[in-house]
Amino acid sequence: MHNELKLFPREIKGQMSERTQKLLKIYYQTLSSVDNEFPYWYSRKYFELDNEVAAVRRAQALKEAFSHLTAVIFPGELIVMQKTMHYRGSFAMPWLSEGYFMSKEDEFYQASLKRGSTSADQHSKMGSGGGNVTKSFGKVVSIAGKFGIREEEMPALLELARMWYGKSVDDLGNKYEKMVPGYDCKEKIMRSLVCMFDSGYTLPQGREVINYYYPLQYGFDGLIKIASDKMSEVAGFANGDGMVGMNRLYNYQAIKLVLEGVQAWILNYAKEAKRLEHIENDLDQKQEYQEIYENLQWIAYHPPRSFKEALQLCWTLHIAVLNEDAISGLSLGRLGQVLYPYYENDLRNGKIIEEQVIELLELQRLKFTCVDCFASMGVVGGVLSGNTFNNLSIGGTDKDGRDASNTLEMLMLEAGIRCPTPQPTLSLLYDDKLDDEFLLKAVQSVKTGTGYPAFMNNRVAMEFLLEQYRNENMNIEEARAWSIGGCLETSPCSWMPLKINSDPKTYYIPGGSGQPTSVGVHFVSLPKVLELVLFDGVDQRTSESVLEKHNRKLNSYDELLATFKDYFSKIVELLVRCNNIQHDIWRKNNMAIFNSLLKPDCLSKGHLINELGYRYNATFNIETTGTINLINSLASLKKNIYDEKRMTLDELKWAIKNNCGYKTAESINSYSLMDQVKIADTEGVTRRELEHFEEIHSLLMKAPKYGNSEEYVDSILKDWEDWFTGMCRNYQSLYGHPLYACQISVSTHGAMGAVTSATPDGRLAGTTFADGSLSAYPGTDKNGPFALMNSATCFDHSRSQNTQLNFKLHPMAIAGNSGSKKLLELIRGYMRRGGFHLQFNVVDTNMLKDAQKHPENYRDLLVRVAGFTQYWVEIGKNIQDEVIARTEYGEM
Amino acid sequence: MKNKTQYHYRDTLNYAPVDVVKGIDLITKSLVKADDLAPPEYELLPKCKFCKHFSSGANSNYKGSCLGFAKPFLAYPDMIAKTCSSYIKNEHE
Ligand code: SF4
Repeated sequence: MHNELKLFPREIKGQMSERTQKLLKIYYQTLSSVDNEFPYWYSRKYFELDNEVAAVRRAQALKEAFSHLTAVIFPGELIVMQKTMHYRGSFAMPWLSEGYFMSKEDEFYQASLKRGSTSADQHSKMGSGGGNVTKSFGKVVSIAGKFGIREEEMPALLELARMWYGKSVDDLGNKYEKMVPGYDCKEKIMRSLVCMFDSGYTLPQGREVINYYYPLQYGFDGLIKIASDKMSEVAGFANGDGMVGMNRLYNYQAIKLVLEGVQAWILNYAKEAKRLEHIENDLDQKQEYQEIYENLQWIAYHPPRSFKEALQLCWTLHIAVLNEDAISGLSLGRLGQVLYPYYENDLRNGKIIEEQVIELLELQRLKFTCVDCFASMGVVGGVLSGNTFNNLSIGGTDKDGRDASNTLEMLMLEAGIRCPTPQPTLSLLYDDKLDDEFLLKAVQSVKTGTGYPAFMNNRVAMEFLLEQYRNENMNIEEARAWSIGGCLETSPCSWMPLKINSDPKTYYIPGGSGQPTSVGVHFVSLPKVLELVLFDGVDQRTSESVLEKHNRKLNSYDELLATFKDYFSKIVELLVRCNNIQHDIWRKNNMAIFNSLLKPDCLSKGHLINELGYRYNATFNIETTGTINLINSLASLKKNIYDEKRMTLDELKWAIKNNCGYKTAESINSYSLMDQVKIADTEGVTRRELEHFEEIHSLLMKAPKYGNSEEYVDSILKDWEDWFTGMCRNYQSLYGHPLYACQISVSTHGAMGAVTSATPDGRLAGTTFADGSLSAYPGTDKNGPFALMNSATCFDHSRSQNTQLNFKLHPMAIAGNSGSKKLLELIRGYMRRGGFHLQFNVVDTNMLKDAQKHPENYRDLLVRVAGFTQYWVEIGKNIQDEVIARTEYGEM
Repeated sequence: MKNKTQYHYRDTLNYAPVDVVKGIDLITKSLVKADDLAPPEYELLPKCKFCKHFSSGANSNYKGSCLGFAKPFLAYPDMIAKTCSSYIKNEHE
């Protein structure tokens, strides 16, 4: 008998339409592609307009860029338009940052290396499969480790980038952040990857919810008229505001220009559809081109009349915002509730049937899956794993607090089951009021193994929002409109009164009304800060002195913790000040105009995002990574060093410096703890030393671990959470509002783990941290899922924008109807205990191991990482190893 | 009789670029390589390199200038010009 592994498939599998299948097949063969059209026309216009008012200058440049994009329609599509001419296209925005895609020899690249902007790139891993262009070939040049550009376009791109040297948000921001006292230290923080990213020029917007309302209600012509009327009304009036009251005129002019640009873009597509109709011989395809032409020609001017037109318009608006700025995590919000009135009307009037709706939703999924965001390798690989987080929320409660789920959302779940793709991922806003049928449909979707929907707690989110936006007058009704922005960022939204066609009813639809979140301080690595505490400010990887020596002996646990908090606070303060400057430069020269006009209350106030035109502006936050490795490390230090004195601090530091007698993770190209390899006594260490390392490591591993419902370690977590979520509010964003805590890892736990020495919890150097903020470290949660849930809910989740707990379940653990019900009870139990977020990877670990060996057999395998779903072949090895290592629950 | 010029797929109007190396032939609906030759009847796609206002650079194959608007600016031969209001096809193309 041969001992081949038995691989358990996922229980549920859907069947997408033939049309979707054909288009998805093209996607599987598509490379991430970059071209110059947008930056070319943007830059050309921008540099022509010296001395124009900043908002108008930017708007003119945007209009020029949008109206020059080449329209390409692929046969078989029903929902058309994409970011660029390519199926999976994106483009550089050198006005944000130009250094990182220069050649490594280039002086700009060297300059950004020095200031730490590219450090994350060097330690981030991009999956080498799928559509990533990780190496140049033939006539294709690989840039930023992921994107391919034709060699014919590369010299022009470099020339365009040079035009922005010293003028980009990155460069200008850097010029001024250098004036912050202690800036040198900030450079060291970035170089050592204590913090993974600057905020103001990488992905300055996103992790927010779009608002589709105004174009749905008024159409482009209606909005252009509103802007024109407002210009006449406000011209020359300060309206009691001596600072920015006069700017309203220029802002309305800017709004009008950008609307005209996006309108021209849509009309170029309409023209292309007409052209294709003329050259097409197949009658069905000809008819489809004709319909595409009619829909586009209509929505370029007027409010949509049907579900299909509304869906097309929402998609167009979405990519228009994505083209305006470098954005990840522009969420759709509760699109099923936004589009429900159109769906209901069409269904009632016999214009559409459910199967057609599902096919359109499948095609929309495919469109979102094709969305790429051009950014540096560190951002795209190290944080995003190639995903762009266009999250679709379902469920929640309506304006009056009732169950808000509807039949269109059921169809969205069905489309997600039939067409399993990374985007849009789904987030279910869980409330006890939600119907069981709806929840069980969601559980069925989880069982496909796509990892969506994730479950977020409606009540906890509302409590967070009411506290955070109290000063901006948020009330309970408005709090109910919330959605997830990005992968897991609770975002403020508002109810908008929609009227459609001749329907006398007013529908209150939810839409985003807040600024970007996950801006402010990006990803501070808590285990790395602990490393600095233990080694008096010195980074063990580079031997660079990152922070000033604390000169404390760390004689007690309290002294250790106090030193940690001091170091952490210093880092945060420096980063807040520098990032505020970067965002301030962004708002002066690179402000959102299209995104702004969509959000209440810019259009009525005449102020864009940069002048606090949005209804909610207190959205800046402080992000952390590696919470659980920090907590486990603190528990181990407390136990082994201070309470039981099993070893001295010096002994521990000696072991850490020597990676507890193990080889480096990089040298064996494996990033999970279980695969690490010991050094042999022939490799420069004595047998005695090796035994000592083993002894120490064993004590570190045996120390209490989070996730087992143990008071010793859970109380450390609670203390940390109470302190951290409180300290964030001591800092202010550039908009004058207090910051708050954001606790998600996305993929940073891979890159940041790669540069961090061994930690006192037994984790070895270079290995990936525990994912999320509340997932147990792989293999250390020994008491089952309910114990893990107990540990995770030992503190108040509503003090933070989010928390993140990921479960890995073997498909057998939730098989059949009874398995589905068990899973639903688990979700309910967690939510009722006040847990904020829960997501599931339903997969057989053996299958993942096989996929790592034979990626060619698994092009369509999806896994849940941390807040997002991604193709296995498109994620980096350090994250793959971590997903494999996660504790797999075989039974519940 | 002069043969009709045969262009690369990526220089024709019947090509929808899927990515930087391949695309769809809009007539046959098949996946084709960007640099393969298209059938002779396929029409030329407007690009800067085919435009009267394009002046190629002395030192680079892939860079030049556009003289089609009030202010001259960088141009590159391969840029698609379907949406350029100043595009005028060079007679010898
Ligand atoms: S006029 Fe237009 S097509 Fe001609 S070179 Fe200039 S940009 Fe290119």
